Amino acid sequence: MKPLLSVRNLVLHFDTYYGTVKALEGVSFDVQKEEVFGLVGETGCGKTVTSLTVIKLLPENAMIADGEVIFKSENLLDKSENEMRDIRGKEISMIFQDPSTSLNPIFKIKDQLVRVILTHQKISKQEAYKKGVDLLKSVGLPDPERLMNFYPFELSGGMQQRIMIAIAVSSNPDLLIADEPTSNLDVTIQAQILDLLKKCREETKASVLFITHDFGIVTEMCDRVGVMYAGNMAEIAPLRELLTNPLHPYTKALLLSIPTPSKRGKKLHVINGMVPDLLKPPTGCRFHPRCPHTMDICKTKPPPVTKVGKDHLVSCYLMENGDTKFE
Amino acid sequence: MTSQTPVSRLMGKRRFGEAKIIVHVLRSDPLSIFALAVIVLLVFTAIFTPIVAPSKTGSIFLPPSLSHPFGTDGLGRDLFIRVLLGARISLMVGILVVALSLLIGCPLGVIAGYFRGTMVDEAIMRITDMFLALPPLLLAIAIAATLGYSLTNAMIAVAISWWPWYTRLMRAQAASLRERPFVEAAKGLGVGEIKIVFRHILPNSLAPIIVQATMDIGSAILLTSGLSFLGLGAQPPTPEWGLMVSRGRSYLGSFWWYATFPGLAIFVTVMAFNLLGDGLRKALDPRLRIKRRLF
Amino acid sequence: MGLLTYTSKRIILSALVILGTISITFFLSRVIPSNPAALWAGQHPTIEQVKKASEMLGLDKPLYVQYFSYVTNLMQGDLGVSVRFKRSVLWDILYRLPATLELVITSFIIALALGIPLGVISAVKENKLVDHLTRTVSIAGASIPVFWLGIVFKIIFFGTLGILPLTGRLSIETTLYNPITRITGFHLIDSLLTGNGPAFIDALAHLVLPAVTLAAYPLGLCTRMVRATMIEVLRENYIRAARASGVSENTIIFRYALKNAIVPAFTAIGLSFAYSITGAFLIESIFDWKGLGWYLTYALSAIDYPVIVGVTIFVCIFYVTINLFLDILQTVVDPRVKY
Repeated sequence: MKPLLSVRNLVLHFDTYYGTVKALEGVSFDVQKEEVFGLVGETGCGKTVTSLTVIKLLPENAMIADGEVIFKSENLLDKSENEMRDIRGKEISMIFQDPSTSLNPIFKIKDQLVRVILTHQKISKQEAYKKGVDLLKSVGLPDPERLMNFYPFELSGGMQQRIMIAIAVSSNPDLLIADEPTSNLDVTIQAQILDLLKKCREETKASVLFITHDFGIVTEMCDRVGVMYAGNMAEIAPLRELLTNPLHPYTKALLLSIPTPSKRGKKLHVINGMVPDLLKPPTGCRFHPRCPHTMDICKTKPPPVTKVGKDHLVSCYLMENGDTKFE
Repeated sequence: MTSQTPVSRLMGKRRFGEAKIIVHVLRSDPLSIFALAVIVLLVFTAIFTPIVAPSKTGSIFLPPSLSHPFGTDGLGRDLFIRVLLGARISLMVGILVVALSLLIGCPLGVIAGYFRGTMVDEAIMRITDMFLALPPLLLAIAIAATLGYSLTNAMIAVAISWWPWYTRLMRAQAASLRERPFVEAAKGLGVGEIKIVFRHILPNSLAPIIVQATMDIGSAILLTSGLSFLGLGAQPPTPEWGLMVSRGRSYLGSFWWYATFPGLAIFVTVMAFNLLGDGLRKALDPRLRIKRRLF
Repeated sequence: MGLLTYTSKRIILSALVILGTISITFFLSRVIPSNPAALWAGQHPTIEQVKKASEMLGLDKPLYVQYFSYVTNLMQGDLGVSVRFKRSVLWDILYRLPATLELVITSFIIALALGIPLGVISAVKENKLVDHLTRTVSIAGASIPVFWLGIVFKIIFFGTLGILPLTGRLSIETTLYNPITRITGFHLIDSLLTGNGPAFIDALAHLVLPAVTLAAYPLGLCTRMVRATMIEVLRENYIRAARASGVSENTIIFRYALKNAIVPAFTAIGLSFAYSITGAFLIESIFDWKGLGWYLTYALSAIDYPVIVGVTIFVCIFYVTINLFLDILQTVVDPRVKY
């Protein structure tokens, strides 16, 4: 089946006063129709930048050095800004991490919501308003009519995020990108928002590109997972497969370091070293300085992607030897 | 990082790194370089003209020529030399006025901001408001009328009407810095409040002040030359630019150079300081240098 | 507290500030080594006449009594009487005020009409050539000595090109043949109201140079402020989120961003309006524009102290009122500011 979104070999650099930041180095992954794909990794690994590249909302100093972003059989990187504007909000929507800063503070909710609806749908203002109210209701907000006249700062974080979701799904997008939508919220609200997202996805049959650093959320939400490290895609696998059979050393270490009740009383697993400086990234495999299984070849070139099993991709030289089971 | 490294040395290292970045950003902005060049030229002129310049005279009201690049004035004095002499006066005026304003305004502002919400803050701010309500021109007129018309008095007048701006600026800075964790940490370590104010808050509030002060040197020159133009500041025969423009005003049609060149000097000088201040603002604002991590 | 309480608090504070200013100027003026009684008495007064004038002016009373009576008079709107003209200072001020206001308001309109769009363009095309040019021009505007610019303009437009008048608000022909009936004191408005076409054109021609000269500084300031605030706003998360939802770029710039940017730029721009008053005074002296500045300049040379003090206080009250107005306006426009 053809994937909805296919990112191939994305190379992204940033031009700064400090030098060139090599943010992404050949990132590839697919998002199928009607699936939730989780993009996981530490802060700074490139997950957000990847998503921004998909909708082409990068800052001025970003340079896409190589790669393609195929969405519905078209390369988005070739598209003009006008064409992208048609796609954003209508076919691909994005919700961001901090809802309190994602809404314009001096405009009422109704101004912002209705305007987005009118941008993509040729209906009258009154119809758009009514649609807006219905949307607010469908995301679980009480008293939506009154809410339309509120300013964002008058609402709680959870409510703001619901409004962001309402705006994002207002035109039934095929792909929803969610960049850590719950990281700034309380845990209880977090659960509610995640449920809401699940509900939206079921109703609209949209795919979701879910970005997070929290494996707990991954387990709850995602069908397939891609693990990123320092601008590289380390491993991609279906959720169960990744949890039971992680192959990349980084993924393994990551899973080991998640605190669970069974590890109570024991020392937490730590990955030695620090995240690399992307101005001068390590040669070859970017994880090699911290990897317990480094070989000489790891320092020379970035490892190729090996397909293991039906749907499991790993970017590691260890795979070449066919060693799929080791400590 | 061993436990032996004193924190101050680490701070010193960091500051050096910062300075390098600032210089780098400044160097890449052609306008700032130009401004800096002009200012350096001015300082040179200010220092060396009184020493080196010949006292050339010619007939009165000669138009610009090779021997008199700016022409001569009503007394036959070479205007070019006089304008150059004026550089020294204007530079001194600018620096002194700003220095005076800073000296009064900054400590008051830091204290007010740090003790925000208390009687000290209220008292300082009320006095500040009173002075803020006075337009500099009028205050200058009042002072000049009382103490007499002179450049020094004009400078005092401008400084008196300006310090409230720095107080306001510093107060905002200090008030926001006060909430920062490092202040709490210092307090937790037992550092006395006065010391916190002067060793921690003051240095960290400097950035916007430096920018403002640089541009204010230009504005001070503008304002005092305006006062001299009105006759409230420098008196003849001082070669002050504003005064020269007002002298030249009567000869507009016939001897246009008399009013034009000194005014041009003011323009170029003030513009240089403003450009430099603008460039500094860009360089000192860390957000304006694109961050490395963008996730 | 509600808007009303906040407003009252601010008004009381402003009144205190004005009182302080008044006191300062009063005491300064009494220290001036002048002889108001002699001035009042006329050309060659005898000692008797001077003494009588002194009594009439209340100058023989102790200082605190003078202060008290001055302040009470002030409360009733009496600013004293011009020593030289023997007319009420207040009346003179109000007569001269429209001239100054006409100048200041026109220049301000020019400054805003040009400054805001320039600032926006500059911000949107940040660091490109347009931005560098605009930055230079706006900084130049804020650096030019207003008195010099006026002179240069006069040389160029009157001296060399001969297309605009040299000084004054009206030409002699107009005052003789098409005099403007004074309704508001604003020549432009009055001539329109009375259907006096040629006078309108004449007044406009005379207004151009002074207004444009005066506009230079606020124009520069406005452009820079708008540019700075726009750049900040355009970096904000909500702009990025708005772009992600596909809203048109024009809407983003001119609705979403600009409205956010104007609010902080407001205060600075408003203050420059108050500052324009002082610039206007300089311009009035160059262009022989008979407004408040001209009135004050005369008073300075004649050391007519009631006028000096009166005008000073008047301008101060004006300043403070504008400040107050701006503060209140800001709370109204920005829903986030809590009273």
